[in-house]
Amino acid sequence: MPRALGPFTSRKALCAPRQVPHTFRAMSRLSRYRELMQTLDPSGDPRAAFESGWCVDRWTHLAAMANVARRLELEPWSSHLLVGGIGSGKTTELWRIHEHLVTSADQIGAECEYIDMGEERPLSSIQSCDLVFAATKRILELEDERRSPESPPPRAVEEARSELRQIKSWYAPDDADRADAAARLTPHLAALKAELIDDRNLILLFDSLDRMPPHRFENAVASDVQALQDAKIGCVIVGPMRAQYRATESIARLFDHNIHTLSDIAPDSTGLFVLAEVLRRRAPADILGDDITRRLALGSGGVMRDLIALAKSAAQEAYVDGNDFITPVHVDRAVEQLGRVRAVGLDGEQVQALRLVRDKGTLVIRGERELTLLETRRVLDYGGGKFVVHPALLPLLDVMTAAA
Amino acid sequence: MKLKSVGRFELAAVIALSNDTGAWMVVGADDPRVEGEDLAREIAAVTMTSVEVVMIDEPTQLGALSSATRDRTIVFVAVEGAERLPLDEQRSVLKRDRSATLVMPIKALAGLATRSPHFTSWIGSEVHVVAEDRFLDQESRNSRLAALRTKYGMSDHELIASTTAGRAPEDPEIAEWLVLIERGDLLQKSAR
Repeated sequence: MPRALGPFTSRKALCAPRQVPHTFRAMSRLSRYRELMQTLDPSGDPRAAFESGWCVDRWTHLAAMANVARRLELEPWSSHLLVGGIGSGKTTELWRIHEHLVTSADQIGAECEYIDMGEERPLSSIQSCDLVFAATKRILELEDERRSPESPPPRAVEEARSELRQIKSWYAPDDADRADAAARLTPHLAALKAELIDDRNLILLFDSLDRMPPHRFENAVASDVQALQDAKIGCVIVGPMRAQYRATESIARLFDHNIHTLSDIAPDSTGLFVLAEVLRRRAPADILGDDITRRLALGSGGVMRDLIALAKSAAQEAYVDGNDFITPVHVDRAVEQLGRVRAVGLDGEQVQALRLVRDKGTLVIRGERELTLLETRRVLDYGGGKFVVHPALLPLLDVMTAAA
Repeated sequence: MKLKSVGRFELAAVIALSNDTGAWMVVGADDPRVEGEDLAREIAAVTMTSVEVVMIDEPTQLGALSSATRDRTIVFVAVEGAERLPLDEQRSVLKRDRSATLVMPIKALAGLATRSPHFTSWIGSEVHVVAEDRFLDQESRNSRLAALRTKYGMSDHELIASTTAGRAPEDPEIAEWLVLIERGDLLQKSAR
């Protein structure tokens, strides 16, 4: 249990009888801004955003994502790796694929399940067998939900449960090599799939593996992807952003070259329209005018999560200022705040590298320094060799350079 | 490059605004223990709810502590080992129903974006350094006071009279106004 140093109960000073006109006006404004905080939450659940209709088709990237869904329609047993910058919307796209597959399940003849591996195991210790273990566990849960309480569990279910229990007791969480455990579960996976969904197909979407240490990704997933392929189970795995730049041949072969990259949305004319629409679905025009959405889109550099974060931050500024709507001044303050958060901790060499990106419009990825700048979203990759310094960081670059 | 300092009350007001979203905020402080308690008091005053301060003695326990308190407003304090908090690794289990504020030493903020790029992106711009409200620059203070006077249609004197008579609206911003004009004593007097 948490160690509470001391609860602080609210002061009751403000519990005097309300003056209705003031209170009404204040509460109405407060309620509006509180509602905005809900819709403009960068840490909000992407599934909830998807279900609320806040997501916009990113037609600049639709081809790539539609490609994943189409491939899974044709080959529901195929394996795919999804990579992209932090905050680019990978989880949202995973839910979009889920939605597509679920709504056309009858036509495709496949069922689809989403698994957040970050909720299953500590990501730093994920290794061979963990994906297959999570998959088996999920299928058993589904079987449990679907079977009537009076019916005894089928033999395949009992055997798979027993195998899971044994594997759990045989292997310590930090055992170096558990590839054989993945192989042991493969026949159970296939039997369970047959028991649960008959001759239909099963597609599993594994999220959060982009947050595991990149150097361990390949070893951790290789035997599991193979086991899923052997059991004819399709999968999409969200992998580390670095795989976008440093995917090994063995990774490419493992996924049969099905590596899909989600780029940021360059805020050109089409991109600006998409980004503005994302905000418009979350906030009314009387509080977030069209000129403001455009300004926020430009400041975000097209990074989806930064766009939402900037809008939230600008709304906070407007609230603190006592305004009923967001003005350009609030956006400018929000952009500066985001830029400062990104700037903290940069060293002289990184600042020099950022200046080069600013001046040349491109980035030569030589090693760790460049990868870190990309990973921390100080440099954005629009694809086709076009790299830019994050627009929130750009105005601060000269100040930092002078200080360096 | 330094973060801009914000007033503690302003920060508490912003936290209160997002309290129901389960949002995270990181705050750098010279003395995280003291700041954690001060901030918790301010958040409690603004949200009018109970706020707990929870020490993170072992960095790997952050996820478990957050899950156990997800329906309460919490100020987490990390002193030793703030640099070792597994913020990226445990992000999936940091989802909450009420807000969490993580107070850590200022020097630990320097590597935050590099150590935990996923968490830093996830919380957006919510990384702050607190200044005592009395150290807020005069321009910010005057601008905020002008906004509050216009909004409520009262002068500072009228506010004091209204609060003393127990007629002031039940708004967090009224408390902020009293603090800004250095009449926080009126809050405490009424609290008894």
